[in-house]
Amino acid sequence: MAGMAFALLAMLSMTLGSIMQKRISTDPLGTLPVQYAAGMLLCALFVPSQPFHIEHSLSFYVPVLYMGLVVSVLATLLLYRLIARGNLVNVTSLFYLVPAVAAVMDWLIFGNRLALLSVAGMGLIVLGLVFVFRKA
Amino acid sequence: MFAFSKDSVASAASTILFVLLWSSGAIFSKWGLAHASAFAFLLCRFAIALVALVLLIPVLKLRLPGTRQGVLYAIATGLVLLGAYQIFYILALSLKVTPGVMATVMGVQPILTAVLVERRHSFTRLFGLCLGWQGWCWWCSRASASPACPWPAWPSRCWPCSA
Repeated sequence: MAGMAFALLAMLSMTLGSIMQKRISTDPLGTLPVQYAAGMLLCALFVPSQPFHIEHSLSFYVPVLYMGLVVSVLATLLLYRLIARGNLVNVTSLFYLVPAVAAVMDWLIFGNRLALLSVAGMGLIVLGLVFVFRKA
Repeated sequence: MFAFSKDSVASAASTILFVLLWSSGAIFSKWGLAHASAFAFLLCRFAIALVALVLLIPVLKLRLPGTRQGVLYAIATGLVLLGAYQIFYILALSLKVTPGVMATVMGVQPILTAVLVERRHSFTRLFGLCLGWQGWCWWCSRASASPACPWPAWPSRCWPCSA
């Protein structure tokens, strides 16, 4: 099934891409502008064949500015620095924390409650990371 | 106990800041994607990031790759890590891959990375990664099945697709 193939390709791109990033030893952060230019061109190639619409409202502009500036620039610069300085497996395993932290933020900001079993899943993630980060 | 405990406090702080910022992306993505198509949102996001980074070059004293080989390698990395990843992700979702399956597949990444890059396979580390993956799959399947899921309209935001 094509959808499953795309899911696997997304996972392989993320894995291969972070290994490639780890191999950039001179000025890893300086490659980011070049990388975004390349990524944007690739995205632009798909635009004609895909649904394309934008609502001109704050509900589009605020999130897209936040994602572009805070996540794609600030958080990505931090990620590239972590990749350059740290152990790649430790850094990528931090992603396991992301849905849990996002849900806690959602709970704190919007008051959406967490399911008990989700909290147990979070506990398992944290326990797993203790094993990953434990010194050999 | 933790590998980064020997590093400076600044290093731990930047790790925590990174996880917080990246996680906040899930909420903002969900908000924005309700008001634009996925490719329109991604293209605008890349354009904003590119303009901001070009402006930041002198501020952060970023050094662009100096050699032809360095530029080509940066282009290849950008195509794979920033472009291909996001595009395949959007295409998979548009073909109705369920959030649980998507999260399960994406969660393999740290384990695959460990198998590919670490020559000496530590049992403890792989065990920890598998526990993390299990908790992750468990968490994501519960979250997207629950009415309390923070991503009811876009449940696959489970994975840090905000990359």
